[in-house]
Amino acid sequence: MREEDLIIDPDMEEIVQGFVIESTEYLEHLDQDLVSLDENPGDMELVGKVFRAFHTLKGNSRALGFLDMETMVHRTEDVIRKVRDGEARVVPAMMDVLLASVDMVKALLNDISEKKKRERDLAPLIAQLQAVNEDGPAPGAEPAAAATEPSVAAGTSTEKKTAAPTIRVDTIKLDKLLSTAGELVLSKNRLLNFTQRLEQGQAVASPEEFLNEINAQLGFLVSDMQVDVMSTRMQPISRVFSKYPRVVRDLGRETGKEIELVITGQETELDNAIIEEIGDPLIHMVRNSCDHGVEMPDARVAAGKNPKGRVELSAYYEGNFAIISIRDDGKGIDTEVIKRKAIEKKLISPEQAATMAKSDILNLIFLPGFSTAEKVTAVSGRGVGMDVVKNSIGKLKGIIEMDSEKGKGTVLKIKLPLTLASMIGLEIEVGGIRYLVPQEAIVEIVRLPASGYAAAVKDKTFLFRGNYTLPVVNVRDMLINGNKNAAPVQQGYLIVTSEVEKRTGLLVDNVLQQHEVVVKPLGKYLSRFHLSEINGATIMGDGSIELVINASVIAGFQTQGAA
Amino acid sequence: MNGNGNSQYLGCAINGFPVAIPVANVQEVFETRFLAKVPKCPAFIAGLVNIRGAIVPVLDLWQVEREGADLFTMAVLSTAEGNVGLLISRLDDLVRFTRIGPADALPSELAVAPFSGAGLDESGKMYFVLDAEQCIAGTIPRE
Repeated sequence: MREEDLIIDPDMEEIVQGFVIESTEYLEHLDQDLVSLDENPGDMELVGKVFRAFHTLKGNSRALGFLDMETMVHRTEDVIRKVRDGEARVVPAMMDVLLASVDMVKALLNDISEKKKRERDLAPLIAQLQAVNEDGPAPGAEPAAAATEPSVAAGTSTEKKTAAPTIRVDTIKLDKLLSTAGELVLSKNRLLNFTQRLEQGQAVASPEEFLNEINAQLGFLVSDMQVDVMSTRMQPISRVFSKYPRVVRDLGRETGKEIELVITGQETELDNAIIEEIGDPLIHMVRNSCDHGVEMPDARVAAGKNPKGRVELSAYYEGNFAIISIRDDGKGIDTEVIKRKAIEKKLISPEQAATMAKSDILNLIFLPGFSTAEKVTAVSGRGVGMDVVKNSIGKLKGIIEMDSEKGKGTVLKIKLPLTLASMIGLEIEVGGIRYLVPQEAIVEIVRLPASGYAAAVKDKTFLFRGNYTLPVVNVRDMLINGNKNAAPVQQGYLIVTSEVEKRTGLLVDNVLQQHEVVVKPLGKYLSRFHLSEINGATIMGDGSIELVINASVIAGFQTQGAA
Repeated sequence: MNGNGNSQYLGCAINGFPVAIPVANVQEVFETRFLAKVPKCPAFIAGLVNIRGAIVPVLDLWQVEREGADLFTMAVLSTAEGNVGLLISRLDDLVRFTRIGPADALPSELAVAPFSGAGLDESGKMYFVLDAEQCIAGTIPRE
């Protein structure tokens, strides 16, 4: 495709930037509204809303001289106008063309956002719009995104590039922040006044009491401020979810399945950093549910189900976490098939397979190189496995769990921290060096020596507790020596960490105290060394640096070695 | 050779050898008593340092002898890989070169990092000129 730079008058840059942000929002809503309209063709209120959105987009793009975009929007608006005026009826084929137009407008907007002038052939799509407008959809018209590049289809990662690094913040949150900042200044002034009086040698009544009080007040205000600032970064998950009705609709049309997407908890708020990153793994999971989960209508009827499949996407809070769950009522996962594949791929031995619990078998899906897709489809078999999904979620400090029942459906649950900005960590000591373990990774702490703690099979150490056996990983070996010490260490603490019903004890020399810290990444240079055992680093109150360890990687080593 | 007679260099000593780093590549010179050790890293990664709230990795490419008692002295290089501290024995001064050319023979002690040549300053002192970008890039493991 030919492209050249799009010259934007520097005076206009800010206006164009605003235009891109606003138009992106309109287009996201349009995607959702058009899909709803497809389901409820008679909803005239919705038709009016869609019409107004196109109308505004047309006016704005014309005002800024983006003529290609204006033409495209204008022709699309014509079709909706006819529906509004009762001269045409909403039919799926019309929606295909309208959605394809929205994709094209998105592509044009993307060009503007990237300041590029790309030659795009609007003629075929305009002809289709005209055909739809004149006498219903043209027979054999190319449906959906065929007229545009596949890369601009809804929900793909290319959209990220166009999203400006700005977020919208509720003014109520900003007002709160401002008032806390004001109180902070007042406290600072009190402190200043106090030190001035001391400097001038004036008598100060009970200075200790004053310092204690001001210290408490400042501490209170600073943590308030932290919460307020954090809240400005919190964005509703609807920003991500709003793309999926379109994705599911298109998937349904492509595969010939009937799928109903039910979304709940759109207002659940998460840190912007998580919202930005969760889209890709989530879309993969939604696609998986539609593609591999939900059966073809005839198969569903044969199984005594409603021909229309149901995918439920929901978000809610659970303690200090947000949960996103994706549940389908499809064919579920056959654990026997998983076992067979895993044995074929030599991920487990037949003996292991015979004794594995159901949850362990399901978790095999998350291992690298595991994909049960019978054939690679355009929908979900893109060479990205569930291991990649698990990794992306792991990077957000999230955990993914799966449950499935053959014939009934599958549910995937993602547990995410509300924010990545700060975390509570437990300070531990290993080999004279202090590290932090994220609080959420810790189930319990066992002080050694403890009963039932012993060396067992081969050179591995276990803690036998009541009805379960806890494998022990010596963190010192993992981080420092890099090899295993045969004799089990008898002193220290076991930090018990769990992931998907698996528990491991991490042996450390000492347990110190809890800290609330801001985790920073190790940076570009160190990222080249793939230090998966380390999550990041933090600067402590005294200016020293402590590393935050990735408990799940350290714990996972031993379980991987055993498998 | 990316330097010319008019560029400034940071003259320093590494285990007794005079080394010059183009100032354009140097963010600052930083001294610290503590480096936070990073486990599971190659030995040349000496640790991490907190520079005004930024966490910067520090490399020790020549098992640098410290001249400043218990202080670590580093040139913080600004590279394509972000800021990276490079331990040096001692900071000398800013130098300009009257002549600059290929280095005939590089002492084997310095051979681990790329030097783009040698320069002579006004007083006739010779420095080995470090190619900062290559120096850092060369330490990255190949995928």
